[in-house]
Amino acid sequence: MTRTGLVRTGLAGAILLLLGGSALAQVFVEPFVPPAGSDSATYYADNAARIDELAGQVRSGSPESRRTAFDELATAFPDAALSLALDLINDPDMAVPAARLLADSVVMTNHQVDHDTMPEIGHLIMARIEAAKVALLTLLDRPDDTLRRIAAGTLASLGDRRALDALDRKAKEGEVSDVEAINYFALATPEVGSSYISPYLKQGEGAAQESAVAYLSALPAYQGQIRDEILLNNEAKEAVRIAAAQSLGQYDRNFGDYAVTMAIDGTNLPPSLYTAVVSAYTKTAIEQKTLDPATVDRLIDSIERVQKEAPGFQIQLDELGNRLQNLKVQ
Amino acid sequence: MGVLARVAVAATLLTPVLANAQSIEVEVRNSASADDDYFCWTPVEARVRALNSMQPMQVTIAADAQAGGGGLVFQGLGATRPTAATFQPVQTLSLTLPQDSSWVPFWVAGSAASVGAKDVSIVVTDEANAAPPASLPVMVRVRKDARTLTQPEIDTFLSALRTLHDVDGGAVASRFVKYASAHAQAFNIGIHHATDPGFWPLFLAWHRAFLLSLERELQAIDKRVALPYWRFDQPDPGGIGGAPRIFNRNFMGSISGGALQAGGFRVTFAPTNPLFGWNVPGLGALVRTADATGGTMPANRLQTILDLVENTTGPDQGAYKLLNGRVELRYHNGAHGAVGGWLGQGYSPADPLFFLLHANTDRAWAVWQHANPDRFVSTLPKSYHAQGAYPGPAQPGRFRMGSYLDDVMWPWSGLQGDQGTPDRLDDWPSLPEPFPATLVDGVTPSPKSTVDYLDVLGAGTALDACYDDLAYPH
Repeated sequence: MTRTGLVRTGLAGAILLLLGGSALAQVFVEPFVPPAGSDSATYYADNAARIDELAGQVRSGSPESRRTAFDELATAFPDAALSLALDLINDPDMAVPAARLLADSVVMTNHQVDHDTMPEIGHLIMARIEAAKVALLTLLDRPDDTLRRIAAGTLASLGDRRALDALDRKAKEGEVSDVEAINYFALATPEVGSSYISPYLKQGEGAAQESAVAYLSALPAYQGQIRDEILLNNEAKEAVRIAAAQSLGQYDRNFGDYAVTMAIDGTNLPPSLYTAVVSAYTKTAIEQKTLDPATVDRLIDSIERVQKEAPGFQIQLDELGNRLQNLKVQ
Repeated sequence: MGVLARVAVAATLLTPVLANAQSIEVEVRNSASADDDYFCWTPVEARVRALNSMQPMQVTIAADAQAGGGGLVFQGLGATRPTAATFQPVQTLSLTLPQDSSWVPFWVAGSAASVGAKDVSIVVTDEANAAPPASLPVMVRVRKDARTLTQPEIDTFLSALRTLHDVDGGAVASRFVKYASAHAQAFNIGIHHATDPGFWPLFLAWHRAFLLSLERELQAIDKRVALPYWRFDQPDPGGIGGAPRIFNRNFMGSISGGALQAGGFRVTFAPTNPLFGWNVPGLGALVRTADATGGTMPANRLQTILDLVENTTGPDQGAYKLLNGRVELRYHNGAHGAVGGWLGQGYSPADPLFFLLHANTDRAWAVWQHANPDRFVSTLPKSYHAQGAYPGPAQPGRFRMGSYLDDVMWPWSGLQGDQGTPDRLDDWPSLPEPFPATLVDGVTPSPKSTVDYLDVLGAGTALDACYDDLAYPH
């Protein structure tokens, strides 16, 4: 993928002429070779000796001294450090700092680069972003959690489809947990992330379904599905139904329309789900000021009935009942 | 007007016996308004006069300070504005006030930060005790390490943010949201990618002006507000039992217990926190991917950057051109990425934490300037490498208009759209809501105006923003 600076003799500028034949010529690789004739090339050429020295220290020595040299290289001569980082991510002692530098170099770059700003280098900036992303992509296959987290978090935040597809595949193959994958998918834009997360409404471990419900309930396009296929579905897992009640109560503007029916008539609901529905409904209705006295009375009656049938939920339901009683007083 | 002086004037109207009583008046910024009696380390003009005095009055000017609160220093110099070279502050200043009631100028500057209020006064005492002393409460208002703010200071800041968030923004959702909108649109017109190979110059300068714009809006809501800065290169304990001080539900919020949402985990706030329910239309509720309580990089990172910028060989040694890109890539980017969520996107100013992050980024520039005082001189290429004004389309490899020292930056320039020339680099994003044309009275947001932020050269262009640990150099 990358070629050394020496190969780019067609663009020979001050830096390559100066560096040709030195070890330093092997430091810079495309697309991190400073453009010929640029201020950048002059700067690197002026500091060739120090770059050469630091690059040597990065390549050998104790892990600590190598990292110190890399830190200095990255700070003073980022093009050189980024060039080396493309290889250092394969070096057990240097992979983490190399990955962090690559990740830092692409932060927020999903904001489309305006080529008009500086036509001479716009394409080069894009090429550098892509090179860093490609290097980070390779880290998704590493067993090292730190490396995978750096790469996955960065690329998912940028909405990189290649990374999201890879994570999707790894989740299916059991290499990463469903919940971890969902957490990464959620970093992308809703349009992108939801397409990866929505299958988990019907599949995967319970915790993954709960995460999917929590995420997708905020998106109007999925609220009807979550309501009908999970919250109102007696076949769905109870914990997932509870997650649906809590999330829809927070995000679905129409939650009160069906939740009040569940709360008043739903004494056949599992007590924990009943409690979640009444709690979410009460909270929403109080905030939206949609509770009328008749509904309050019916809810209190309903709570009292459930309390008799499920004494284990006495405390939580007492609290809800008291809240509603206070509303009547007000 | 001083409190006691006002009392004296009122007494003049009511009590004939006191009609000719001697009194002293003292003002800051040559105005009787109490609204402008806020300043930081930069000396500001003040004046004092004796009323109804039959002879010249010898007075002593000093601070009446409370322990742990603001402190003041003074200088004579008449009307001549002090500079870093001439500033020789004293704790107590003696002046002679003429008997004709004319004003005598002097200079006052903060020497210790106030704690969230006007907690220090300029006290002028008649050495002959013929006139009652005049006292003028002031606030030494500086940007502080967010970990050190008192809860009242935090509440003042957050309440102002909430108020700004809730003000109708006209074409955008709110006055606060316009900052996210402008940043997103400016994102790729030169305010980032400051590192190689382009060395685009605007990163530090543009964001300094951007912070000041928001700070001015917050101060219009509550004069006591100064932006805190988040030392993202240091851990965030500081609270009770070592709990996070910043990533805390009572301050900038925490993702602890926050539900998964698009972009990360919902940031939770205490119900009593003015940021509770922070929400931006089109984005929803605030999300982040982490509470960066452990710091986001080695604690020596900034010093490493400063050392390397100074020690690098070649014509760019010690130059803004290097600092600008290194601070962006090696200091600021990692903090954005570590917190993630909205803060990892182009609309990152929608998360109020953006302004604390960037205050610390701006402080990094200031630290460098204080260590190398010639970097306050904007006309030195070391201080800002895109000197002069936009050279026009004939110049190859030029930066976008608005990037050069003397240019007015967007969005403060008010320019938008195609300017009607074949030159693409004088075109601008749309600007749904205008930004104020000045950062402080008479100071237009150009790169030039951002460099000498403390006015150490005495041009009268101080930006009225200081950092708690970076005193006015002298």
